[in-house]
Amino acid sequence: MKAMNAKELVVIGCFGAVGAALEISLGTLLHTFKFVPFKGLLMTSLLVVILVASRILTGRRSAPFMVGAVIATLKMLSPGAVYFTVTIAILLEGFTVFAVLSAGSVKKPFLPVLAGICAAFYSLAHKFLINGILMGSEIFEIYLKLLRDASLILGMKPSDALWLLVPVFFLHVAFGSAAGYFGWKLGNYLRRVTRYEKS
Amino acid sequence: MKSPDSLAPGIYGYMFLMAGVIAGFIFLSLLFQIAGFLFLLLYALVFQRDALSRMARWPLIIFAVTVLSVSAIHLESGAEEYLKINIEPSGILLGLHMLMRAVSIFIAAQIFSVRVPVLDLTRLADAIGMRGFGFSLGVAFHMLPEVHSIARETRDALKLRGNFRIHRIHATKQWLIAILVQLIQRSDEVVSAARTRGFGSGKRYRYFPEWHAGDSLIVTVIIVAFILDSVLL
Repeated sequence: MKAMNAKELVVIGCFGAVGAALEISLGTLLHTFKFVPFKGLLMTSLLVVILVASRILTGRRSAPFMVGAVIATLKMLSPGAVYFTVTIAILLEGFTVFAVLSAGSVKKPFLPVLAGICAAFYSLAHKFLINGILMGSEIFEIYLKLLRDASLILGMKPSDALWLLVPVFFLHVAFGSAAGYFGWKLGNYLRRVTRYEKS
Repeated sequence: MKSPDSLAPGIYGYMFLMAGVIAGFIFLSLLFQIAGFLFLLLYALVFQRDALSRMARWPLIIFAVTVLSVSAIHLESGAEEYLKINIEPSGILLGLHMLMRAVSIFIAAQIFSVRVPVLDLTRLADAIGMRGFGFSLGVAFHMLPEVHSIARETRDALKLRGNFRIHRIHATKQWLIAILVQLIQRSDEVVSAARTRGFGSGKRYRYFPEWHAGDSLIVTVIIVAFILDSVLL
């Protein structure tokens, strides 16, 4: 694989700066409000737009991963409390978008939309993955216990709770696909407007 | 109190520390987990106090209270009743164990982010195949104030035209696009400046970050802990 030239690296740095600015300002603000629902999904969608656009604009397969790594590093360096989980999430979302977009051509929006959906679902799975690492498998027993307790309070069967996941599922598909599509459109638009050349 | 320079670990030592903490809480017995946690806490208190002080914030306290209360309180019968809340002593122990594990990983991650120089991080990324990562990171770091000023100027311009009042979502989209377009247009100047300074010309070398004596010390401590655990318990 040919090494990236200065122009591509600078553009990756620009996308990284925008992503990091979003993560450090909006991400930190949302992180402060512990009980805001789907804040992870919102941040992931914004990140997907930037990652997909970077891939479309530079034409480099590894661009989303590089942008993700730049954002994660800047987030790690920013002052504040513990950013371990967020840093891991950004890195893995960058890798997810990179892996999906590497599967084929990005001339049509199919793969960007798929990448957006995969990244959105990763944001759903992230809490379970990171809680598994941080607190061990015991946390899943507690989740089940909470589910049983909640069903006792609400007078529902624990299996009925699965129906609650249906709108969550559709919300992730909607946000992920919209972000992937918008990122694809944005990348192509930037290519036209800035008359981007690889030189 | 600072650690002696000769024994200060580098990037590898802190990476092994993080990996060792995670692996330790998976494979070691409870006794060694507690010993490891106390050792790590003591090490952080003595040598990495600034990393610890960055951690001591409200989110961590809320996290600790949530973990303890969620694991201890439940509604099933058979639990002892205090203040009309059902509390399970085994749940408290489970919560404490999970908290110990999470705090240990947080401490190791925090020490890594505070102590590892960005230069070492970029060198390692460069050496393992992400060529140019350090350059991109540097560009992003220096572009951050630029992003801030462009974002403010563009937002003011959009506000003056009344866009944010009429089409809020459309204006936000325009805002993001305008920021990116301006940044990419300015990137040409950065490329020219980098080329003037000789970027991309000549042979590129790979520099792995140096291995420090402190790295060997951390690796040895982790290996010894694993061996002792398998021999003694």
